[in-house]
Formats: sequence, C-alpha cells, structure tokens
Amino acid sequence: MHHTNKCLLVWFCLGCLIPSLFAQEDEPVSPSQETGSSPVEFVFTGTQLINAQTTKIQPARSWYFEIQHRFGTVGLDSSLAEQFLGLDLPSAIRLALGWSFSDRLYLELGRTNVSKTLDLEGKYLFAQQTNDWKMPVSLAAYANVALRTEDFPTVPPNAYFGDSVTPFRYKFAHRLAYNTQLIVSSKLSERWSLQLTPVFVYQNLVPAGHDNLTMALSAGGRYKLGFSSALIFEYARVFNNRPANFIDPFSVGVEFGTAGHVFQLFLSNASRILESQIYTTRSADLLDGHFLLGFNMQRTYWRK
Amino acid sequence: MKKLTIVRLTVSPLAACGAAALLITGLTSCEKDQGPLILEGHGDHGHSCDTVVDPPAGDTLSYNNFIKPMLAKGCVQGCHNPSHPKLDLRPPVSYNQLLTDGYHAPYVDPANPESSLLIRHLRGEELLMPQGGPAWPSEKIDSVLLWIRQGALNN
Repeated sequence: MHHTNKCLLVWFCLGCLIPSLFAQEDEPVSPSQETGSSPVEFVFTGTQLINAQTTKIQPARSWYFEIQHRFGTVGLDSSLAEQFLGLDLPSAIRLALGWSFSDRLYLELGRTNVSKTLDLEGKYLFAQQTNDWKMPVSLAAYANVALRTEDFPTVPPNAYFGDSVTPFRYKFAHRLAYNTQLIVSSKLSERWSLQLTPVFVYQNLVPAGHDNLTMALSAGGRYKLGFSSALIFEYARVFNNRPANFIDPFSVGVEFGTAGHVFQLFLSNASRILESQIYTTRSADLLDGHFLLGFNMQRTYWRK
Repeated sequence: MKKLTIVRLTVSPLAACGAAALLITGLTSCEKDQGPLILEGHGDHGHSCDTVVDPPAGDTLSYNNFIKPMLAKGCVQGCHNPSHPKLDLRPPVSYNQLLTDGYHAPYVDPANPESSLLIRHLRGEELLMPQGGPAWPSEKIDSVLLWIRQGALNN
C-alpha cells in the first residue's frame, strides 16, 4: 500500500502515464496469495460515466465501438417543443473505436465533430478493489491527446500573443490539447458505486488571460435500480479559468446494460464530449432551466 | 484461482508502444501560448493613441474605449505584462488587476479619486509611472481621474 500511495503522489505531480507504470514494475504486491481475496467486478458497467471516465476496462483482447451524442441546449420555454427537446438543433457527436490489450489497458481512437477533433486515449488500471476491502478502491490512470483538425480563422494584423508584444500567428502545436486523469472508484455495496476524478487539461493555446492548465475535480456515481438498469449522476468542479458566469457541468441519467451493450441516456448542461472541451467551456445554466439531452452507447465484442 | 496482483505490469509490447506514442506526443509539443489578442491602435492599420480622444462631454467615460487602450499602449510593453510580479495591465486582465487582482489592488478609489494609487503614480506622487518618464500629459491623467470619479466602472 505504501508504494501505491507513493505512486499516487507521483501521479499527481507529473500527471503522466508511463512513469507510474515503470516505477511499479519491480515491486509487485500480491495480497491475494495470502488472503484469497478476489477483485471486485463491475464497479461501473461502461468505460465512461456520462462525461467522466471510469475505472472499467473491457476484457482482454476485446474491441468496442462507442457513440456519444449531445443534442442542442433547450430551455423550459417554447424552444422545448419547437426544437423537439433539442433534437432539431446542432449537436455534438463522437464516434470511437477501442481495443483492450489486456484486462488493465486499452487504447481508443475517436473523432468528434466539434472543431473536427481527432483524439487518442489510453487508460491503465493499476489497482483493483478487492472483495475483502484490503484494497478499498480501484485506481486507473487516463490520458487523452486531442488534435483539432479544423482550419484556424484568419488573424487580423493587429493580433498579438498574450504578452501584447509578439505578433500572433497560429502553429501546429496550437491544435493539441491534453487531458490526464486519475480515477478513484469504489463499489460500496451491491447498489452503490462512487468515483472521484482529478482532471488536468492542458491546452497549448488558450484565450488571453487564461492559464494553459485547467484543473477540475469530477465526482460521480451509480445507483443500481435492478439487474441491468441504474441511475447515474455526475458533477464536476472546475478550479481555475472561470470567467464571470462560469457554470460547472452537472448530469443525471439512466443506464441500461445488456450482454455486450451499455446504453446511457441523460440530462446534462455540458454540450461538449471531450474533457478538454467540457472543462474549458461554460456549461448551460441549469438553474435557469437550460439543459440538453445526451446519450452514450457502447458495444463490446470480446474474444474468449 | 486467478492470482490478483495489484501492480503487476502485464502490458504487451504493442500496448507499451502505443502508450509511449501517447506520451511522446504529449511531451514534445507543449506550448504555453495565449491569444490571439486584438489590440486597437497597434499593427498595420492601427491609429495612433498618443493623443487622447476627448470623451463626449457629460457622458460616461468608457473604460474599454478610453482607459484600457491607454494602459495597453503605455504600460504593457516591457513592464506591466505577465512577467511583472505585481501588476499586469494587458487589455483582457487590466480591469480586474486594477480593482482586485493586482498586488496593491485596488489601485483606484472612487471615494477618493485624487488619492487613488494609479493617479498618484501617474502624477509622480508615488514612484513616477511610466518609470523614468516622461509623465503622461495632464489631460490624459484627467481622463483616468474622470473615469475613477464616475465610479471606475468596467464599461
């Protein structure tokens, strides 16, 4: 445990995937051999809980297909019917293909229509909750690189970098944004699963006056209603880069699972899908009655 | 029984390559850029800001139209930018810096406009700004004073 804690600290400091893998390579801990404890399965059903990542990794050598969809934002007024719950409005869509290399690691390639963004993500489960509570939580590290492929707008000649002195021009690096997370989840009972996720988003280019690094803490959970259905919810607090009237993302929904499928249908105020876009964008004002409908769908094909 | 190892590395070489690629992309191209910032009065088709545009008499003096460009033109280059430890006067942040975020904020005091730190510095009652001179012409300082008298609004 001590070493795991140390590694956790390293993770917070560096916020990157690989060092933690190799730092632990030479110190395998096998509490199971003495106690006979077994890992807790199905802390969460899908690899994502609405907008946040979960500690779930699909079984080794399986591949999966994912569709994420956010309809347009509507209010509790005439727009609700006129835009038919937001279905008529422009929406955000992400399609993704993932491959599990092992029960602990997957890589996923995705494409989002917002800014024509291509992204590559990876998740590594480095500790799994055990039934005897010797290991009370599952821990996973997540990294995502997003590449904006949309053309940049033309810059006027009197545009400058944030220092007000260097003439502004776009470069390739400005297309990239990174997102690193440490995911801590726990299945508290048959019905309750909760998770806490520190999120670090690094954008190579931000509006003048903003920090390139945005930090957020996401908290979410699942309450099982039956064998295959559950209530899911999620809230994230963004700590910096909060211009006036900034609103944090909040979502609540239901989840259905069948063999190989996870469906999530939810109400949210976050119109983006990639974390590097969610936590750097103002969400809709829920208290003012503004919200959107969204769904996530995941289909897994596994091999024995 | 399946053996549970909490931190055993069971990554295939291919996966390791993939993860490494992810990391390398991440580390090789980190930029710390902000912008673009459109500055009126700079650049090719900018007009000179050395002369003050007289605000319409009796009207409210707009921070964004009059004060902000003066600070941007006169204070940012070489001094009051992000590398200054106390006060950053770039257009997007200058208002908040003066009112709340700067080291000695507030620099403006609508209750006592004449003794506002900003005015005292511009008049040379504190260390003269711009440092090393020349001081701003008095009508320029009076515009700042008028803006403070009118409540130092972000208008």
